[in-house]
Order: sequence, then C-alpha cells, then structure tokens
Amino acid sequence: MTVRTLIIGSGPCTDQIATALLAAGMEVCIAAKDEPVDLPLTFPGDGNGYPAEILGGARILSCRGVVGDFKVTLERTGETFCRTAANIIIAEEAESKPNFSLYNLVPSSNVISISEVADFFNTAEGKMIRHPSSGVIVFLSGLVEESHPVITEKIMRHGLQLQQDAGLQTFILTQNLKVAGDGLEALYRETKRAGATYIKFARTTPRIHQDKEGRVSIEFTDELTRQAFCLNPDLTVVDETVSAGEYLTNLAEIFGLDRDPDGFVQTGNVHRMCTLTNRKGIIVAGPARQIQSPEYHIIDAGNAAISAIELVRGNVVKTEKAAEIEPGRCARCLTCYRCCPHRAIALDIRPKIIKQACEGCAICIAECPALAIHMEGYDLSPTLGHTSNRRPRSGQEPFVPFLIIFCCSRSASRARALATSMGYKLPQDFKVIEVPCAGSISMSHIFTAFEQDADGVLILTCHEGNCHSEKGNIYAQRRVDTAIKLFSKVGFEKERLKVDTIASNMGKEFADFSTGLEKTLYALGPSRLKSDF
Amino acid sequence: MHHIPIDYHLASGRHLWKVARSGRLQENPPAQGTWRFKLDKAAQKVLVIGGGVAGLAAAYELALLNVGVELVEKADFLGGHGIQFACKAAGKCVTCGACVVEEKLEHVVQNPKIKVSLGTTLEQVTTSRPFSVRLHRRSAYIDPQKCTGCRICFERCPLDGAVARGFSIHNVPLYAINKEKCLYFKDKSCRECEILCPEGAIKLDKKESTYTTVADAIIVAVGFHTFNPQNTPYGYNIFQNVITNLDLERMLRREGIVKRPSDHRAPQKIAFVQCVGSRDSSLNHLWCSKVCCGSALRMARRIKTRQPETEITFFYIDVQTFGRDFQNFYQGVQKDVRRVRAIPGEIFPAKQDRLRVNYYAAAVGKSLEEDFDMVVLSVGMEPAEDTKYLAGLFNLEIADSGFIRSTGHKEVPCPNGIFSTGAVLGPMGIAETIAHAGSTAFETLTYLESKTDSLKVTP
Repeated sequence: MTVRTLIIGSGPCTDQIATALLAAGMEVCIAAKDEPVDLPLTFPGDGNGYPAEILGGARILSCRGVVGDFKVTLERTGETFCRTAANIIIAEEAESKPNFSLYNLVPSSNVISISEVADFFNTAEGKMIRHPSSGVIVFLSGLVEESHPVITEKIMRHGLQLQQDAGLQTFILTQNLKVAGDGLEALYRETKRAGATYIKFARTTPRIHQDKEGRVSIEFTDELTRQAFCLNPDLTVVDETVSAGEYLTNLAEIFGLDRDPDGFVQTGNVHRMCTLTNRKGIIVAGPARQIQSPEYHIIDAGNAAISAIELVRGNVVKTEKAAEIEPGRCARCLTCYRCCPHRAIALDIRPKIIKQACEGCAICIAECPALAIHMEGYDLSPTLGHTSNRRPRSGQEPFVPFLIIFCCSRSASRARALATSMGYKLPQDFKVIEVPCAGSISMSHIFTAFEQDADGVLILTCHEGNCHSEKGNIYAQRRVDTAIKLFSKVGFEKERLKVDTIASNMGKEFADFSTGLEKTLYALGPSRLKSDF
Repeated sequence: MHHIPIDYHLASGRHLWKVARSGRLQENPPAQGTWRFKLDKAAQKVLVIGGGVAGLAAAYELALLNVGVELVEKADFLGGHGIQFACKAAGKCVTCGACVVEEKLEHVVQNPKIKVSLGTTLEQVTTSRPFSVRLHRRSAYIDPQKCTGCRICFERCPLDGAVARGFSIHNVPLYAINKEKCLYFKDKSCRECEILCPEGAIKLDKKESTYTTVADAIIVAVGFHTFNPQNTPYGYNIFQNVITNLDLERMLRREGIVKRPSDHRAPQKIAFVQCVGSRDSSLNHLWCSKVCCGSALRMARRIKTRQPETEITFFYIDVQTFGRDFQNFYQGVQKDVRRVRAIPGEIFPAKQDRLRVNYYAAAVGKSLEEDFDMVVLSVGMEPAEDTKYLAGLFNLEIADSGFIRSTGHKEVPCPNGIFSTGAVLGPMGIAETIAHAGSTAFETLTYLESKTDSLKVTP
C-alpha cells in the first residue's frame, strides 16, 4: 500500500502540511492549481532529500477508489495522468470577491477593494491622496451582508497604518464590528486611539452616491447623536466576501464531498471537527474548509497532518461492521450507490461495497428495493419477540402502553443512558432498539414493531446537520412521513408513530419525548394491531 | 516502472528536494518514502494539565498516535466548562459543539493509553526533560472501581450540593463528595452516604496523597475562568433571577426548558445582556470572548422553539459572526429575538418579583426602563486562576491580557517541551479549541520525535 498523500493546494497551508508529512516520512504529491508554485517546504531535518512531487498548474479531473487506494486523474498542460494516494488533503485557496455592487459602486481610481489597498498606495493616485496628509478614507464593511473578523482585521490593519504613517483620516462604516478574532478588540482600541472613527448602523443605512467621475459621497444620520453627516472621501474601500470559488466547488463534486452553504468543502457537521469530511481518507484544511484567519490555516495544517498519519497507521477506529451486497439478489439499480453518504460503493461489473470505506450506517440496506444488502448485526425485520416486559394481558389489568423506541446509536442511545443515569422519569413499559444510524430504520422495522405488540413507535434521530452519515435522519423522517400517510389511508391512528430529533447530551429530552408519546398512547388506548387485541 | 526525469532543485538553503518536473508522468514515481516517525515509543509520556475540551482533545489525538498520556484534572470531573453546555439545536443542529465534548470525553475515558487523574494538582516540576512532576491528589472519597452510579448518595444526602454529580455519564465515578459543603468535613456529624452506599464505595476518611510522575513533554490546557459579575450593577447574587449564560446552559441541559430560579415558573420576558466582562476597558479586558453572541442567540432560539410564548430581548454592542452560514442564522434570529443596541446601566427590583432594566435607547435619544422576568448575563472569559502559577512554573510568557502568549507555530514550536493549548491562550469556542488541541498534539509529536534517534533513520 502506498503511503503517499496527495495534497491539493498552493498556499501556506499546503506548504505546512507537506512539510509536516515529509518530516513524518510520508510521500507527498502536491497538485497546485496555478503555476508557478511557491512552496518553500522547509523542515528541520538532517538534510536527506525526501520525495516531494510538486505539480504546478495541475487540475484534478476525476477520482476513483477509496481510502488507502485513491486513483486520481490529473490534467496539466493538456496532458492527463494518474496518481495513486492513500489520502487526499484539499487545502486549495478560496476566492475573495469585492462587494462593489452591494454598495451600488463601480470600481474606479478612488473606489477600490480591501485587497487592493496595499498596492494602491504605490500608484500615482495613491501617492496623491497620501501626500496632503489630510485625505479622508472611508471603509465600507458589512453594511448589507454580515462581515467577518478576517475582513475586519484587514480593514483595521490598513486603516491603522494609513492613519499612523500617512496621517490620513479613516472612517469605518459598518453594522456590526466583527471583533471575534484573536487580538481584534485590542486592535480596535488602538485604531481608535490613532484617530479612526467608527460609525455603526443598526436601524438606518448610509446613502452612498457615486458621480460620473467616480467620486463618492456618503450621507447618513449618526444613530447615537441623531445628527446628519456627509462624507466626501478621497478614497472609498469596500470589503470582500470570501467564498469557496469555482475550483473548490468542482473538487467537492469530483470527490463526492458535502459542501456548506458558501460552497466550502466541509459541512458544519460537528462530527467532522476539525478537518474531516464525509469520506474516509479525504481531509480538508485551511482555506478550503471555511473562512478563517491565516493563523488558523497553519493550525489546520497540523490537524490535517495528524489525520493523514493516523489514517496511514490504521489507528483510526476501523469499521467493525461493513455492509455486503448479495450478488444473486442485486438488480443493479444503483440505489445503494446513490444513497451511500460515504461513497463506499464502487461500480464494478456490479456494485460492490468497499469494506474500508464503509462506515456501517446501513442506510443502503434500508433503501435497497431488492433487499440484497446485509450487515452483521443488522436485521431488516427484527424479531423483537415478546419484548414487552409485562405479562400478556388478561384483559383485567389497567392498560399500560408499550413503546418501541428506535434509537440512533450515536445520539438517542446515549441520551437514553444519560436519562437512566440521571433518574429522569421514563415510560413504564418500553423497549429500545439501537440502530447504527436512523437512516437504517426501514419501513419493515416500523411495521414489525407494530406487529409485535407496540402501542406506539418512537424514532429518535440526530438533529438535521448532525447526522454522522449526513442524511440518515432525513431518510428516517421521510420513511416516517410515508408510513404516516399509509396509516391515515387505512384509518390507523397516525399519532402512534412519532419521530423526534435528539443529541447525545439530551437526557431530559429523551425522557420528555418518550413520556410524551406514552401520554398520547394512554389517551388512544391499545393498538389494534396488537396480537392480543 | 518508467523512469521519471528528476531535476534537483534547491528548495531551501539546507537541503535538496527531489522534485519531478514535467516529463511523461504516466505512472507514479517509485515509492521512496519510508516511515520516519517511529511513534511506537510506548514509553513516551505526555502530561496534559487540564481535562477540559482542549486537554481532552489533545490527549485523545496523542493516544491515537500511540503516545502515552496522563491527563491531570483539578476538579472531580472531566469536561471543564464545555461539558456543562446544553445542546442548542432548534430542530436543526446549530453547530454549537456541545455534543462533541461529550464524545471526546467518552473517547478519552475509554482509551487505554490515557490515564486520567482527577482532583489532582501540580506541585513541582523539574526544568529539564524528562520532567519529573510532583502531583498532589485530593482523596477520591468515592472509589471509581466500586461505584455503580446508583444515585443513592446523591439523592439521600441531607445537604444540597454536598454530593456533586458530573454532567457526562462517562465520568467515572459520576458522583463526588464536595468537601466544602459536606457535614462530615465540617464537624464529622454525618456519614449518611458512607453508610448507605450499597457497594461500600465511599470512604470519607481517605487520606490525600502526593506522587511523582515522569513526562517527556507537557501540555498546559487549563482553559479559562468565567468573569464573576458580582461587582457589576446587575445584581448578580442579589436577585435570584439574574443568572449567567453558564447558569442557563446548565439549566437547559438538566431541565430542557428555562425556569425562573425564584419560583420555577417559565419566564415571559427574558433579557440577554452581552459583553459582561468582555470588551470592557474599565476592567482592562480588551478582548471579545468570541463565543457569547453565538451561545446567547442559539439559546434564545432554542428557548423560542420549546417555549414559543417567551419574549426575548438581546442587549448588545456588536453581533459577532459565528458558525457557518451566519447570514441565514442571523436573519432567522431577527424574527425571534428583539435586538437592542445598548448595554444596560443597571438592574433594579420591580413589582411582582420582576427586574427593571434601564438602558439608553438611541432610537428615541433617552434612557428607558423596562421590566423583565429574568436576565441572563453573558459573562466573558478571563484567564484561569492557575494561569499565572503555571506560567511561573513553566516559564511561559504572559500577554498583556493575562492569558498565556501563544508561541505561534514555528518549525520547532517549543524547544523546551512545554506546550500550551486552548483557551489558556485566549478566548475561543469549542471548534477552535479542538483545532488548537489537534495542532498542539502534532507539535508535541514532532517534538518527541526530534528528541529520539528516529530522525536519523533512513531506508
């Protein structure tokens, strides 16, 4: 097996990761989207050369295979070629777009974006503004859309420099000043001491005009003093919005990775903390992961390196159970291929589950229309037996509802243990069926539960966006919806089936949800589907 | 195997990298990589000080890489502040990270490479490697091996709070005797729990102990301290219904819903006051605590989901960005939560056990008074009590803020083998702390490797 890691990226984060992995003795191949590549790759070593292959201007075309054995096709100057890798780390740069249009401005000699400030003061126009040392500079930030500390920091640093070095007057117009970054509040105070003026808006917005020559005037009412002001800046600097950009979006598509609403190659799913993705062996770091300060790109690099080393060493918790497709039954409909959140299904002559990539969520088993997929310890129609801990009713005793609660092993099962431990009041008679993921609860599970004496069935899934398999809870919700529709059609009380979302630390909610359903069931009476009804 | 044209390219002043340049790259270059990191030094041990999010995450990462860890926690339970937080999902996960702390704690407790020492503090340490560390261990009055977590001691203790309970069930034991409150330690008048414990797990006369351990590297992860709002004009500790954000977190975690401490009734009107002890030059707290806007707005959202009749007002300076897709979250919040850009001046008692909050309303240009049923103070983070002591002990630099100054991420980050991570470096949330801890674990590993002969190993 190769110990090579393919790093896709071209910035300092990539450099740090490569350096770390080389120091750890791993083979590294870097595919940078642009050429030339500027990666110093220094590490404190003994001077022996270790193989680092740097491919500048190489774009990823496709990827096959799974963790330990990825086969990636790349393209460079019209040539296509292939690399195999045990891991892939995506650390490519994000894109910044200036927000001119948000403020109804067009870029001109005195309307620039925050990234252009440094260069601007080397140009002739820049020198002219700088010279009288009384120029007015206005920074527009987060007035229409919420800004970010990364942008605020840039604005404050530039502002401070211009204020201190050139004696310019800086105004920062914003809604919420984003100081939730390391040292930013102190920096904010420093800029104020240097003479910067902050004007914050909450209820009103400044009126920004730009004349034909490109000159800007800004009228506003100060919300504290309620006085009207007008600014005629010599230079207007607009903020930027950082987003994933086209290449990262493409990479997510190629590697089958879930994206966040801004297009970054990682969802907000807390189980991916901090550099993991929905696929084993594919790691995401730095600028490709989310908007964060350059310092955190370096922090991510350490994490990415550690994840890669752990994967190569096989120390990461291995899949104990993996699903398998029974060849004779498979109709090759590819449902499993489409629904697998971890991309563990390879398309050979027939679909095949690759053991090392399978996370054992069993979503495919519940989805497979041919019932062709199996996994050890997973039963499509579980024999619950006489699971009620009460004796078969003689008809004389008072009715006590029997609940079957399907619990996701990662959230609800733990919440149940917590509820028990804390001594919260739970239903009198219930049974918990632990499933690897709520997405593995099939219609057959639900019907079997009712067949086997349940008066009510409660399905507890992770919260949306918190599912380890990303969409398992949504599959569960969908199946419950279908079942409820069926129940309504046949006149069976749909209130007997309930789905709720829960987290592992919600013991109280486990108690509330289960006793809540128990209460409903007391009102409804015994289920007509019970064997002794 | 094709021959790959390689030209030697001076990549750094110190050594040559073999860099494949263009050519026919049809196949992989021959594998030349060898495993340089040995990482099988089971004898290597890292001492992690602090069992909060940072300590747990760092310990776990190191253990995964086969490094032995001793995790030392001063308190009786692991998890620090993070484990007390409630899940703030409102149907949808809001990525607060509270459940991740639970997960990390479980992993740490179950990992055989990690030894957890609770109720333990540092007394002395040698200055050079390997560090010889003298630790002081408070008595474990409840034997973790015997305790089954049956709750009898907790439920039958005549005093409130003398038997403390951990937040995560992965704490072993889940209960601890609070010496400050327990009657036995006051006047030896009560041994109820000791007598009642069916396992005989409680021994109230157990002695304290001191022991020495040896470590190859040390990670300082003692976290932060929450600002005590007692001296603010908000009547904390005077009015029962003025609580902190941490109090609210714990309440939501235990009860699921919000209740007024004074009468256990659901409050109709709640005020959140932000930046209590943060962004405050009079305290010389020139930092934003980063997490309180997220914590308050997420809790407000959650309260609105479970108790929709509650009216929530949010007093703030600037709303800070948190989480992904903040724009959307914040737009959603604006429907549920009334926002007032002002920090209240004072809180007075009002009729019917309510609280009168006065603030300057810029919209009308004058001070207003408004009554609330409950006020939540979003208290900021400040350096932990032990920061100074540990900084002295380990010769770590303290920044103007009082937090430990980050050494940055250099090639050889901490030549002396002492690392700091997490909120001991400054305010940070759960996700950031976990990232910091992972990165520190990697630095520690690099350090351990640099101290062994493995760097000389070639194919």
